[in-house]
Amino acid sequence: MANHVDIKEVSGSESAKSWKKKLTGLMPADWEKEIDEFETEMFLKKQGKIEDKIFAETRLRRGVYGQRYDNGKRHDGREDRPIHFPCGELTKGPATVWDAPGMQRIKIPWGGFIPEQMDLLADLAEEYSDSICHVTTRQDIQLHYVHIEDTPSLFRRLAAVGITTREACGNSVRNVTACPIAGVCNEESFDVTPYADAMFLYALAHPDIQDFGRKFKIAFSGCKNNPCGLVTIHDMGYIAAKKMVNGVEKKGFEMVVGGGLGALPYQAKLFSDFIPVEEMLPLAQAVWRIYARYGEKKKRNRSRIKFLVADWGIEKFRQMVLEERAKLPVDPRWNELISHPEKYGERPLKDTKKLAAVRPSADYKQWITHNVSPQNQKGYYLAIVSLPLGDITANQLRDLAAIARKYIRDTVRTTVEQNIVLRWVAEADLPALYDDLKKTDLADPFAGTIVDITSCPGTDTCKLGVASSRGLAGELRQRLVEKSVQMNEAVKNLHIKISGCFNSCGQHHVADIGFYGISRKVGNYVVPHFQLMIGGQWTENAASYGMAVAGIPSKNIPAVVDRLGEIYVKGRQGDEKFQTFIQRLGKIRLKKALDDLTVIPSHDENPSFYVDWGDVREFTTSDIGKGECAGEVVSLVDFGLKSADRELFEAIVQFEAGNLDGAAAQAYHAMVTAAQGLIKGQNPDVSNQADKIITEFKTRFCDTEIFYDRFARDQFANYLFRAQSEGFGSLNKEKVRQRIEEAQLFIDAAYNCHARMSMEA
Amino acid sequence: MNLQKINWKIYFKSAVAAKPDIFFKVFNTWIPDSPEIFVDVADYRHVHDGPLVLLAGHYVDYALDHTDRRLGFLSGQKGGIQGDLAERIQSSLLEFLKAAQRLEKDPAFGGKLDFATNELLFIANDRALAPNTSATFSEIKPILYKILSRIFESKELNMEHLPNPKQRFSVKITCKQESDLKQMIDRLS
Repeated sequence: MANHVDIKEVSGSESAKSWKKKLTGLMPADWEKEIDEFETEMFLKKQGKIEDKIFAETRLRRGVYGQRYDNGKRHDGREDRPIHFPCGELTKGPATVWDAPGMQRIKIPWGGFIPEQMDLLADLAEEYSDSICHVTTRQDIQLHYVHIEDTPSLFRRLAAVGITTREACGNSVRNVTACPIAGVCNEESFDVTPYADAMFLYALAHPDIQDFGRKFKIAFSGCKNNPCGLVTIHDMGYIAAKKMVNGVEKKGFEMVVGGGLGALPYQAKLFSDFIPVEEMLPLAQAVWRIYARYGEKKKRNRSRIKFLVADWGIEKFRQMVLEERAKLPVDPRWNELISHPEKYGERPLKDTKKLAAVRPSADYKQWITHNVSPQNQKGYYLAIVSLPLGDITANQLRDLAAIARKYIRDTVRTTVEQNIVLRWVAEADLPALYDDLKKTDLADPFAGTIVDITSCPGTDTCKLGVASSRGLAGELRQRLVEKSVQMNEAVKNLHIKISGCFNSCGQHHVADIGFYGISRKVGNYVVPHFQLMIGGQWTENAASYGMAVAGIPSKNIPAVVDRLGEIYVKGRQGDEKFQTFIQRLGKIRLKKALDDLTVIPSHDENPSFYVDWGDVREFTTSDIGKGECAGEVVSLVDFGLKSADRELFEAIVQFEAGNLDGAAAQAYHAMVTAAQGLIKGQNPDVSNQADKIITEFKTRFCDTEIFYDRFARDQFANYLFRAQSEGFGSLNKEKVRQRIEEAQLFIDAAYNCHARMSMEA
Repeated sequence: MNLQKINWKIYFKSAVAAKPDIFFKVFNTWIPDSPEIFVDVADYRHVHDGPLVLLAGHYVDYALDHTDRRLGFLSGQKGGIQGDLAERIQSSLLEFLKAAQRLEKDPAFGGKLDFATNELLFIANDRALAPNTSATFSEIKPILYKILSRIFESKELNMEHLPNPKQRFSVKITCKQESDLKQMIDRLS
């Protein structure tokens, strides 16, 4: 073993400084400031100045997620073994070790990215991760095994090419997804891309999304019939629609709310069959405010908006939202952000030319059949790059960026099926594109088929995973590829989706054949299983959800898939769809047909049943940890006080650098931020102007003697008022030092006040 | 240059024994039985032109690697190595060769794992500190030469800078003679 020093003191420090220096001024200013603040918060966490829970939610809102074994333990098949990370007791969240590698989620709004961004993602995967980029079921990119110390550099490099990780995780508005063929689809009402982007920009860091009890997911679809947007499984969804109003055709949306998968799947409810595009953002804001105000915050498994909609009923929910909408002060961004949809118009790189006569290979024909579709624009096609398990290596991603530059400019999108779509391919280029994709092993001809399995990370990296969804998906994919040439077309067109647990990140409810990981105790052993879900409807934006049929030992799942295919082919009447066939067959007969595959052989008879796919250890559920999908409930007050801490630290840094005016101003501002944080507990709409904050603070907390110390009485509040009247210019060093000390006391008093109020509540 | 992220790769003469499923099993045994801090084994057999089986660690990752479509054993030092640049490069190489030797000796491979010891790939896995330029090569070349001429004991050592600007700074090192891993380790220790 090499002679190591403490990694957290050394790792990447010169590298990180170098990126900071190189990229300063090359990022959007507000993103740059947020990254600097996050870096400071990391430092304060290491000093023990930020609570675990608050730091966890802070990093989650930057997409910095936990990963399996980050509690510092791993079961080796016999017992829990400690992983001796060198950081000692230092943590980055409750029971989450600082040095443990984590997952970095990177938001790709509506799945759209450009070659420059693809190149950068490849670079980041190599330098900070394991050279693999993973496309998620919500069009994000995820990197795994990332050390938290590398995240500021990673953020800066992303920001410099126009990507933010802000609110990629945590209790906030997550990535806004959209149909990946929006704008080129034959069936859409109109291109939803400009509106999905407007929603992303509007939601980003919006004050009204900072106090949710859980995450909030939004999707857009250009049409009602196809599954590309999966709108009905979302917290809020928009389906493009047009309507004649006073003889003029208006663009708008059918708007739905309260959908979601998870352990208890809910179909989204119709909020309105038509809202004009101008109402999209104000209504979204009203929904967020209602959700933040009335959504459950204590019972985490009842905190998604779907429960609020279900509890109230859609009529009451709609009424509350419309009342809130009527009260909203006008925000110019509502219209600004949607005022230039034409700027999202795409142009092809190549003129369209008719395809010359070619003698295609069998593989090419397969690829054309499954991966290529004509666009709405005559002579152009979209080509799906089918990614096994959603994974693409750094070199492949870079090659794909080069291919995009060669054939299509910058019209590339990720899909909710964990693939990548190249749009605007000229017809004459299809054979050459195929050849280029084949050279980089990206021409698998299985898009949208039974081979193209969707899977969440499962036990590979997720803390909540029960069984190995990726291990199973890999195994099934390999077997199904081998059988695909001879496979009946009806079976080939089925969809399989796999989740590692009941939380449905693999969207198992909306597949023809879905699985989610469970376990069964057999004697002294625990056996990995998957619950079989049958008959979910993928089309019509995921119009119906599948039902559980039976728990099957993991090692029998490939046989179950084969058996289901055989039963379907044998029993199908004419062109009968799988869902219809299953309904006709009935669950009892189906279960009976699979009964023999539910039997678990004894350990002596077949020990392989006691080891999961993609693992060599005897199966255990003891590696399951506390998930971070639910984030941590951190109030606006907590966030405000944490920001005050950070600002005070920055004041100290300025003081030590000799910038007295800056330090005085920053210390004063830290007190204002703490006061504002306290007010947010009573009035989330508190002003951002210092004078107004102080006036409101005086009314709410001083006149009422809430901000009052038994011994010091109103002394701490007076520090703020005095700083306000003194200003922050021309103070001598002693005065500035005193200001900083007073600010510290004020912030401490704010924490005490918040604690007292919480106990009284 | 405080380069901490250093990768080394050695290729196999034949891919026959370098089976991903065996690597998967062997890497799993390394997690509890090593002084290093290893976290998990990732299975990427389904992708191309990258790692196939990866042993993720705190200070170092190891992989059965198929990047650039050449099968080999890869190490990726992530940081925390002491000393100046020359000492860090030497230390990372020594650790890498010892890991290769550990694989070579593992009974799971039946003594058939066959490294091509006349070729190595050096990668500086940090585009900020080591951009892929001739200036970086000028800085690193003499350091590499000094270290590698010790382990290869050969004057026919060739170092080729791979200048693709999209890729990380890499140097392909070849030598006409092969050595066994033990000799290489002894010469470097």
